[in-house]
Amino acid sequence: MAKGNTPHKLEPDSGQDSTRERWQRDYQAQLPTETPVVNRSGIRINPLYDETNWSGTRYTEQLGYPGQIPMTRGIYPSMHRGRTWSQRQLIGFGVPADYNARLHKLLESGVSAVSLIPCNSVYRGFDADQVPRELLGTCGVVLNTVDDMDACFSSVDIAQLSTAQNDPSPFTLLALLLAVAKRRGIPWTRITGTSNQSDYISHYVANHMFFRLALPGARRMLVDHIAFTLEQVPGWNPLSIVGQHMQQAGATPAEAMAFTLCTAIQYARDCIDRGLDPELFFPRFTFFFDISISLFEEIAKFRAGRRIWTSIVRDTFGVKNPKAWRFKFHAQTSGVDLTRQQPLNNISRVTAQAIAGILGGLQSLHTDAYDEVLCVPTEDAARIAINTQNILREEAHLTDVIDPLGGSYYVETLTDQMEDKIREVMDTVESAGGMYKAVQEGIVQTRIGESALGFQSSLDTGEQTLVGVNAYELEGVEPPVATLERPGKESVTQYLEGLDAYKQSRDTPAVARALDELATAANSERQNVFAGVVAAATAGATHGEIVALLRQEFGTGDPLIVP
Amino acid sequence: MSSDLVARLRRGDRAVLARAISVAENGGAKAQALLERIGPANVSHPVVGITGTSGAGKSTLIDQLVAELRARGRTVAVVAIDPSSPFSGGAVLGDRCRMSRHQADQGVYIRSLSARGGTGGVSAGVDRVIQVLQTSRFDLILVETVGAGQSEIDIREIADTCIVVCTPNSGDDIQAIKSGILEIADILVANKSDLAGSDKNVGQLIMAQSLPSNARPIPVLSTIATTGEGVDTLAERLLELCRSERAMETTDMRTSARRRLAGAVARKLERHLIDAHDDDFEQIAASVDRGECVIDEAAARWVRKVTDSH
Amino acid sequence: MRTPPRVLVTKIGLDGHDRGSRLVAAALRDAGMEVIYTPPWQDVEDVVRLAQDEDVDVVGVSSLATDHLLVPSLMAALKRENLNHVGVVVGGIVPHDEEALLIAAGVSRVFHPGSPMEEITREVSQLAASARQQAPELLE
Repeated sequence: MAKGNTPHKLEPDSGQDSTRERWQRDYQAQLPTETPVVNRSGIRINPLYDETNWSGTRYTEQLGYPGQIPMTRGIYPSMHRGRTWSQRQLIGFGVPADYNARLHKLLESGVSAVSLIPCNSVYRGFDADQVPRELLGTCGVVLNTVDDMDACFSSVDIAQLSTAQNDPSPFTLLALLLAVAKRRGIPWTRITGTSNQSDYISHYVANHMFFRLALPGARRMLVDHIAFTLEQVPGWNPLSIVGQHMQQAGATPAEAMAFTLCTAIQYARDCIDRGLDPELFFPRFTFFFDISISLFEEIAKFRAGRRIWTSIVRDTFGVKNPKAWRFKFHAQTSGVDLTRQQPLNNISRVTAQAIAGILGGLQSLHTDAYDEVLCVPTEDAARIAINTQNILREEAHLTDVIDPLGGSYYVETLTDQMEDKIREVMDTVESAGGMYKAVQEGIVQTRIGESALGFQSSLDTGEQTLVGVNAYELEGVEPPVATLERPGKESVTQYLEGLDAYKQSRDTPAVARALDELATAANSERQNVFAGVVAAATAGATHGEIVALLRQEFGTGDPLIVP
Repeated sequence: MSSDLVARLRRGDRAVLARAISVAENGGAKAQALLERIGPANVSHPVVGITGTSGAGKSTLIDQLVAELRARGRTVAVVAIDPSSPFSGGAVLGDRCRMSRHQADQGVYIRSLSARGGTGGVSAGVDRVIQVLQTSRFDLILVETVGAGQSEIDIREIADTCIVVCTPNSGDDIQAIKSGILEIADILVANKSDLAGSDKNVGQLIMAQSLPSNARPIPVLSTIATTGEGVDTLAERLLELCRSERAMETTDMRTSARRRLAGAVARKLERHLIDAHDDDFEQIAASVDRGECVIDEAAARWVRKVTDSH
Repeated sequence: MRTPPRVLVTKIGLDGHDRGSRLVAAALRDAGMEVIYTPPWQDVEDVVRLAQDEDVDVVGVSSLATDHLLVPSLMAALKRENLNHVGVVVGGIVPHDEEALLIAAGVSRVFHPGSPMEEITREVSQLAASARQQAPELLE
């Protein structure tokens, strides 16, 4: 937001006219000239809000009660008082044994759900023996086979733990998890979690690293994935529509929300075209957002998003199941707001971001560690991140009241304005023929790029402060340089040897057959390709083998790069 | 020495080619010396200009077209021109992002150029660059520029064949653009033919052609560049057209050498008139200043004066 | 320098986050340079080919995770192709001890996150000038 920096001038109280006008005059006298304050989404922010901005007379229409349309105040009647948000922390590093060790520590500290972050090599669709070994395991866990997945969750009851698999199409990691479940005799109906990176459009636009299969193939895979899990893994959320990548790439909060909702509409249409029942699949749509440090803007963004989504599902798609109207979302504090300079400041930043998310009514939260920009989070930093959530909930009592900012003149006005902004952006996408078409044209990417440049320029000019970077700098102190925790050389070597041994000892003909069948499914009109992926994983195929095969059949994902 | 340079260019020495292009682009005495050494190419491979508004899908189309041409055994050079910033003179040249699958192909050479302030999307050095490329013996030279129709007359000066790419719902004044396009185009491509309004777009393009009795109708081809649909037909038509232009000997102003020469003369004349103070010209300019006649009439008057004095 | 510097902005290795490299490309353009921008995941050989075909003065590599560990092989490949004169800078997350490794391999400068854009453009501009001076004469 732009700063105002003008001198004060006091005037005596003149007394007689209406208090509002008097306030306006006095304000004007104190601040005769002022740079307008504008938030990240481009909405102008006034110094004060009152009933002339929002009067609450349309409470039922605009707010409603928690769990009732339009859901502005929350999707459940009891919200965080009934069930606190999932503290879902991300972990991923090194080799499976490393992951398992971290997992146990996290479970001890009170985490109820985990996210699995695979190595960049896995994201790019490769097995560990296909990339230069110095690139392995620094940013995520190297995980290629069912044995690896088993080792990651060694001594952990996967029937009791909700896992978010950060794995894009073709979702081999879920397939490997299901293979482990089979091995352990756990019925798939007891497996819960989310395919966290199922939103291929967001990858195409703003996280190219996750985009593995060409667009039409990715489109097919998603619907197959949804269809399969609806039927066979009913506790699993196959779809998480991600606003985070776009906001991290520079989209304003309103744009991120708008593009995400448009993506959701696109996927819903694709599911309907396939013949899936909206009453059944909508409840399985979940969302994943960034929370920036623009506190009130984020709260308003989430409240507006909730309201818009309810009307989309209920009114536009005509769905009757109230469970389908719920805007369920996981949120992560924004890494882009964090700095390398004076990194402890990031604790304050994450706290502010977390407050915004909690007051915005999220269902699941990941708080970044303060050293996130420097390295894979150390244990201490990871603990502080979790305790931030514990403190906000149990010491600051942020959850005592549902939607505590409801009725605030400012927050309600801003929620309405964010809704307008979001709908405006949604219109540009819909008039381009929907999200799938819009991203092929590059419309979305161009807009995000412009917003990114705009924000960067506000940092360059100092209009937007970034403490420690363009203001409040520590003279003569070099900011810490990043360290990169590397998995031990021996553990990587051991892993690679293990991978080799695995390939030698498995039932090679069975794997070949399963991969063949997968290729057949991919080329068919109607066969469920994800079912083929699960079958291949169960037969012993590796992640890299499955992705390579599907790239052959569907084409390799080549996101549109808009420089 | 010179013959060695030419030999290296003909052999496909990429390092020499890349450097020669830089020298040619940068102009001045060095460029002149280089072009003199290289000499005329003695063989003219087709130069195909590809223009259209930004967002029409030109780069994606070229990517597919190159694939089709390669499948037909042709080697291709692509010159991708992007506009430069009017403030800084710099440029981000990203067209080749859409063509990255051809990166490792030795039969394809892609060079990104900035318009370097040139209006009309074609830089002044492009014809020098093309001269260098002709010596390096690529079967076809594709030149991609940004255009908005009427200001793209420049592309005609350097290209033998012009492909103009349009899309439905381009949002501009359709008629105005199309009348400009039709002066330039040898092939019209209606891209994004999967979008609504495409049939109407194609229809308008066909109807808008007013045909003098001896002119060839301009083919209108539909494509979807993102999937490659229709690009095989485009490749066929293009190769056909290049073959027939070579074979044709006409006095039609659309013949490339004459047209290109006329354009080059016009550019040099413009520079001369501005720099060199021609008395006749100055007199007429003064009368325009005084409001005694309009520019168009004054220009016609000047041309008559010059051409009548023979 | 009368003609604008030509800079290749690229990413090698596995990472695909390109917000940073896009911002640098824009800054270089605003400083009057011609930027050839590539998608991420370029092979080292791709980068060398591009540097040669586009006759660039400087190559800017944006790196996250351990992608920078591939840069020494890029330096070797540039040398092999007689492109030693091309200046190379790396931007991204690079630990101290590995920064020294890169400099020893011939990288001119490593920029950490938060480096001011003017510093980056100034350095690239200077490198481009020396690249031009040192470029081998190929057309004799």
